[in-house]
Amino acid sequence: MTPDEGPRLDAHARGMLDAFVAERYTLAPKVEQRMKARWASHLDDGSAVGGHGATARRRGAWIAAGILVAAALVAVWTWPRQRAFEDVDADSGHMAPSSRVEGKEPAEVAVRAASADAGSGRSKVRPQTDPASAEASGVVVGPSAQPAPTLGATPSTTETRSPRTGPQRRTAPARSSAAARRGPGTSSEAAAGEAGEPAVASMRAELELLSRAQSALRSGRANEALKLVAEHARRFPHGAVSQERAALEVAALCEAGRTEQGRAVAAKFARAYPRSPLGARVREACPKDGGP
Amino acid sequence: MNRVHRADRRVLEEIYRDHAAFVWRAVLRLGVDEATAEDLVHEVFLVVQRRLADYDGRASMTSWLYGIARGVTANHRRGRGRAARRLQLVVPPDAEPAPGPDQHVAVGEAADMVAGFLESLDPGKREVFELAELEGMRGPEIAAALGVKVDTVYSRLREARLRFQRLADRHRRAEARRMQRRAR
Repeated sequence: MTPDEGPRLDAHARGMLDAFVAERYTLAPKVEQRMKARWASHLDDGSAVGGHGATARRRGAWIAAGILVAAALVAVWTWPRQRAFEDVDADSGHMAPSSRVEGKEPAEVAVRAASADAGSGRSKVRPQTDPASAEASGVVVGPSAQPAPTLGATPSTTETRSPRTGPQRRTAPARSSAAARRGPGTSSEAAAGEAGEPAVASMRAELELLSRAQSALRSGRANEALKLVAEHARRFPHGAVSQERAALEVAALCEAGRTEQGRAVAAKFARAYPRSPLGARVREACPKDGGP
Repeated sequence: MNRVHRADRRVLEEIYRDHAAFVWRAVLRLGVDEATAEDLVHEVFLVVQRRLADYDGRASMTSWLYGIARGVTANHRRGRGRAARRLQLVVPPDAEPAPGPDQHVAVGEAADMVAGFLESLDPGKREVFELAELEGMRGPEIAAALGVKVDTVYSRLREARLRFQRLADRHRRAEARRMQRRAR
């Protein structure tokens, strides 16, 4: 509160900054995990400067894992799309990004392009934009930004990745240094503890499970898919493909006729991963009712 | 120096745990893409490891790290043209930014406005504003990180804040109008 710094920003301004940080600068768990594994493996190599042999091998393993992730994504990506074509109706206009796009300045577009990668789920933690704090600070989040009902059979998946930051964060002014300094990178670090090979192995296991769920869904066995999704959520609560898992869960719920639950998870998904490239598919996965 | 000493290792792990996300955000804000950011974070910590003995605690850890991140990013820019080594995961080629249904528009729009605002600032003010408002760093820390006088930090910060507050005021009024329309 030094006078030299000039007047403080008000709560609305802070809310805008919080939204910005949450959207653009949230370190996705899988990225965090990958980075951390790389660092740990570097330290394991025991050499201060060299040690590239082992690093290169591990990097190879990571790339292999990456390819698996990409494959998993493609599968997640394509399924709901097929479904979406079947479900297109007059409502689809509602999905149009018009309100989002109009009025965008070229500069903003440039920034967005610079920080593109809509997909890496930059919303592991939405550090300051839980609806409560956003509303408290004057940024309107809107009606559906309420906590979604907890799901019965399937453990909630997105919740684990978007820890609600709790009431203490409502006090916007206190946030600025403490919360930002603490940064959105700490919560999953315990989970990402192991390094190198174990992380790769666990990623393989994760992907395998997810791809089984996908196959089940593709073959029309939605309930089996849901079971596998639930198992995935249980075994890998902070997994590298939680976003894809959530997308799959929505599709499977709706396929199984549990539309309400599907919509709830979809809403949660949209809040947790507002820029996800899977976003449109997730929204279109469930037939819509009236709309707001 | 062939082995990482046990004590050093612990320190390095701690610094990484506490600050990797900060460094990641810093290099992103310094203008690299996400795939590159991962590499640069690693490079920053390699420098940290080399220079650990030089860190005398006079500057805060974040100031010190930010200074290193700046240097590493600048080097990267100079040496660009290296093939992108890392696999670009995730984004399928036709991925469009996820369009927002109504209720998500407001947050996304606010974020877009902030992004546009930062673009409109000159780089010096922008950096100060970001470190103060997005990272919660204090004036003296920012001054140490950027190697400028504290007074300079404050004057840049004052001006940037003033401008941003005006933008936020406009945004709030627009929000209010939108709410009214929706209510009707």
